[in-house]
Amino acid sequence: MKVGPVKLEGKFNWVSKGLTGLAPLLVLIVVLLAWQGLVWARDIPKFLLPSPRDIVMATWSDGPRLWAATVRTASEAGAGLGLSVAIGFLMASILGQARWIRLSLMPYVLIFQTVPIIGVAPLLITWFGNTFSTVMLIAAFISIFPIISNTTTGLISVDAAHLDLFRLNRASRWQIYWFLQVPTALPFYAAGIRIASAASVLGACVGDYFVGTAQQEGLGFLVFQAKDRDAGLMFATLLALTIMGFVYYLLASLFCRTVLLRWENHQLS
Amino acid sequence: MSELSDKPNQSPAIFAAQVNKRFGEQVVLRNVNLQVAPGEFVCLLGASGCGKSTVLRLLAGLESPDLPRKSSDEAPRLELRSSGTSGELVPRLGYVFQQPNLLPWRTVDENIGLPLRLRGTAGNVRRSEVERALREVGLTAADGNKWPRMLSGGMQMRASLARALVTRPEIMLLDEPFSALDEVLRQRLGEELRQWHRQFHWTTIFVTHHVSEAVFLADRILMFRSLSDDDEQDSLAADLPIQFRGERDAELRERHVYIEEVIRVTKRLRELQQ
Repeated sequence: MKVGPVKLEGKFNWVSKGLTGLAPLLVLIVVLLAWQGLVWARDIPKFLLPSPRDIVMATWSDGPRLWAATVRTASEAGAGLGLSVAIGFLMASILGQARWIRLSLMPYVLIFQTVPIIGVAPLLITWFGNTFSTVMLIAAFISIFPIISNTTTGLISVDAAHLDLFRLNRASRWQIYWFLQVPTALPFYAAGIRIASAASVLGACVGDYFVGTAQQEGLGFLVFQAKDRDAGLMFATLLALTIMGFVYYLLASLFCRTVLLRWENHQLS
Repeated sequence: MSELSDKPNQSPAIFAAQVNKRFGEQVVLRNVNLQVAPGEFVCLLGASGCGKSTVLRLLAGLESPDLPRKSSDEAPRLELRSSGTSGELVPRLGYVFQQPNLLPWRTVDENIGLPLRLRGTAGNVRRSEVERALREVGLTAADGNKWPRMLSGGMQMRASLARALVTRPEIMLLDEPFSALDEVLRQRLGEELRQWHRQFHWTTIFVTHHVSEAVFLADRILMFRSLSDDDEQDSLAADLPIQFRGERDAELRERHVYIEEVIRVTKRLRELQQ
């Protein structure tokens, strides 16, 4: 029972197979060439739009500084993500216990999502000073909500028949949590971590902006330092941030796939 | 006929009296009274939605019966009694669901051992009991290492049966366990179930809406009617002892007594639904 489009897809399969890996790379090359060409042809000033060549040059000359800032921001984002992965799971575990707990606490959990981070950041600085920990907390603050929200949904999405099985065997609340709720919630938890991973880089960047000094500059600080002086460096910084968010997302996905192998197995069926 | 009439003085293994259940305003069960003798195999038969599965869930403690509306009415009673051989007051219960209901993130072995694990049984005892249960239901050690999804529907149901018998229960409750299987498989599992029932000295209640399945398996059929709002009839419509004796094997299905019994019970069911 093959229909037209399916057949077409099959016929040109070799094209899609061959291009799957190369296509994004091709797009990148085309865009970079067009960009470089545009800057050259129209003679656009560097402070308006640096050419790809300017960005490469800035990366080369300011390499050590850029690298140090990248390491700092990556550590802040990683620590913040680790914090929200751990605390988010604990908070979801509390919320997953009973409806009345969710009803009484959920409005306050929503604060993480609704309070603007630029309002919270100065407050955290007042409390914890211009430190690594402050940026870590900002990264955790901005990335924790998707983990709490997703994991809580997972913990209460237990199959009714599975719950009957546990009740028949007089399972304790702890056993129901550990043997039934947690395994059911793992795929939800994984999805939450993936969203949080990209958000934590964003949080670390915002934190850098508020906390950064010349002695301790992260990417979020560097991007504003470079804005008026070296547009090439600014773009290089933005690029580093983008790549970092991407890498964190990939790492989180990889981590989830490994940890949740049993579930992935199941879902392949 | 049934073992109940053979030993009239024996106290029942399963006893229910004045049991009512409503979900919201919908009356699901009205005034259910039933007794099952130790070692008896009883089938609950009736149309979909007549509350026969609810009886099973009430007996298993998954639901609780409604309290009487007037204080003068007698309180509902639901009792499962141990024969005393296990030394426990409350008999151990096996329960088989309509679906295999295996946890997809655990292997077949781990699924079968789950009831023991939840009871805190030691690991080595658990392993040997799981091995035994696998053997009893006709699964191999290799099947035990697989994920549930790797087994066919019939084998998943066997694993589900193994999980129910791993605790060596005295009372076995089965809620339309074979309804999703093809006819040949259903018959074969029915034959094996009847063997296990005898071998393990179970007291068994089996819920089904298949007349031929009920007649083949049961010593006695309890027929349930679908309730309507305007009458005050009890849920339990008829108590039909099966009219033949002897082995419940594949050959029985071709014997005259069996076919006649299927026709007789079907007639009763039709009368009831008119």
